[in-house]
Amino acid sequence: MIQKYSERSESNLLLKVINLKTNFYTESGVVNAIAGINFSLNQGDTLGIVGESGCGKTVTALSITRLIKSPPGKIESGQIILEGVDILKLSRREMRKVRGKKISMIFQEPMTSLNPIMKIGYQISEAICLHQGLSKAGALNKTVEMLHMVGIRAPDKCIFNYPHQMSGGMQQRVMIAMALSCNPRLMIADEPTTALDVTIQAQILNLMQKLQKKIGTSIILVTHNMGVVAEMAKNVIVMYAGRIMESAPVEDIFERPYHPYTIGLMESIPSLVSVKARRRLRIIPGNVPSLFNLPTGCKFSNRCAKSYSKCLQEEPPLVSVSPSHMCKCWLYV
Amino acid sequence: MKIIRKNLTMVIGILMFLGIVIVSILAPWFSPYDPLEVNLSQRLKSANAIHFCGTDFWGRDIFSRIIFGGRISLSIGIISITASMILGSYFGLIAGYYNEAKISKLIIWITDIIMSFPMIILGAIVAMTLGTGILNTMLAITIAFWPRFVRISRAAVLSVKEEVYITAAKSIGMSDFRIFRVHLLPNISSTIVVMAIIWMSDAITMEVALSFIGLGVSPPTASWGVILQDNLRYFLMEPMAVIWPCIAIAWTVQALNLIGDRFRDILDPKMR
Repeated sequence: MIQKYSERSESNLLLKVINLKTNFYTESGVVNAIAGINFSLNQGDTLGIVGESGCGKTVTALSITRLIKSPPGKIESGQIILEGVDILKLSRREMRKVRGKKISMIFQEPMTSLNPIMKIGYQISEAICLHQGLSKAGALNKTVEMLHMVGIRAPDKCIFNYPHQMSGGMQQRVMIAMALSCNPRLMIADEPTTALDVTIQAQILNLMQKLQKKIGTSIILVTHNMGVVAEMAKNVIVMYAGRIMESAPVEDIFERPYHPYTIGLMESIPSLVSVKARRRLRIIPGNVPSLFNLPTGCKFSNRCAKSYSKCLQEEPPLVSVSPSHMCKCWLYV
Repeated sequence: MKIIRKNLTMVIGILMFLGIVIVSILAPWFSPYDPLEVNLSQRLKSANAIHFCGTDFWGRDIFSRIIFGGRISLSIGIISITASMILGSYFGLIAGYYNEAKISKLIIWITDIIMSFPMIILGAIVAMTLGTGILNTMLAITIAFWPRFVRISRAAVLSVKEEVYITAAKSIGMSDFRIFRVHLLPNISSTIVVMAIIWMSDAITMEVALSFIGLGVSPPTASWGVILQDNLRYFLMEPMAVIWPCIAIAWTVQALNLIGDRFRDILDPKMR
């Protein structure tokens, strides 16, 4: 029974990241921005990657598209297998065909992700022209169709607008239209709603979910907002200092977090109860350690309330605590 | 009407420049005399009804010489600036976009070497190795000006290429060449065109300077620099013979600066 299940999930497998390491060679030394992470993603699923600023979320997202700025960045080792092909072994020309067609990306700030001196219709149709070999007029028709799909009113007029004539939410819709214009297998959303206000956030997330069902795209959602993860993701990865601390289905993460860091994150979510009781918001003491100067042993040990001697000396392995739940902590080894 | 009133200085500049360009193009119709025609009975005359700007030492009509000289000086300015703009922005794009690569260092190195020479010295080097003449003057000015275009286009590319929309363009699979064409060139073109217009006046004055010291256009071909040099010897006898070509030069330079200044404001997307 279990065998069958795993076989089925294997055939559904879209992306598998194996032991990915990305380093940055800066003037003050080498930084291991990602120190060997493993995860996989099935077709049509959503994976949430959460963690504090500087924990390697964005670098993970950029590594998958091979858009790490090099130098200083470099993908040191590992495999990124998309539909059975290791994209780290592709040539630059082949990689260009993967980008946009199989993987596309949405960025944090929609205002800066659009070229301010280009009409938006032209920007989207560029992407369509690149991969679908349509004529200019055909691409423009498809653009109108895409804009309609992401819920922009009067798309046939909107294509002649410049980005600054639109609001942030509209611009993000345009970005989504651009990212989805070639029906990619995987969409990487790097904090897609961080720069938007809350009501617009909800609209954009709803839209992404709707389109995901329609097109069957998988989504990697990079965020630091636990609420967004709860809403969107099926599986969650918690990252810290370039490492995966805990990975589990979203229900498990919220119901029974194992890792002290995840527990800390959960406790720092403001809730209605704590606001009514006028309790102070819980925080995780200390700061994210500098990547130049990480603690030996567990990277979270210097902020962890439950750390003991072993934590300071040796880094724990990522082990299963239940069939689908992995945790990197000495407490559960 | 409103547009004209808003950009009055630019309209004046354009009219001034168009005026001198049209007069130069239609020089044979406008000039009352052949610019090379010597008339020894009419030497060093002041402005009068027959010779609008007087005559020079050889009795040649200065007005005709200025008009025909404008053909040479303006075309040298326009052609050499266009050539250095195309050349310079192409190399500047590459140097800016592949900022870490060796090719970029090489381009900057060459640029710095050329820019460390005063422009007159560059002109002298070209004149000494290739000789004087219209084509060689254009070449000298192009060599002197393209490093400037490399610098500004590289600086513009360096700031534009860090924008998120360049990463976004890469993330939909655009090739570098296409990013150049679609995103980088349109974004930096306003800067480059404005600087080209402003530097065109510099290029024209450089032609004047080179011809004046005998390293540019060679006499008896009329160019503004040549006319200046011819007439300066007789400055005390007929000062206006020097001042008339200077007025033509000042007119052109002022026209180009008026256009360039206003253009910079208009093309700047932040000012829109």
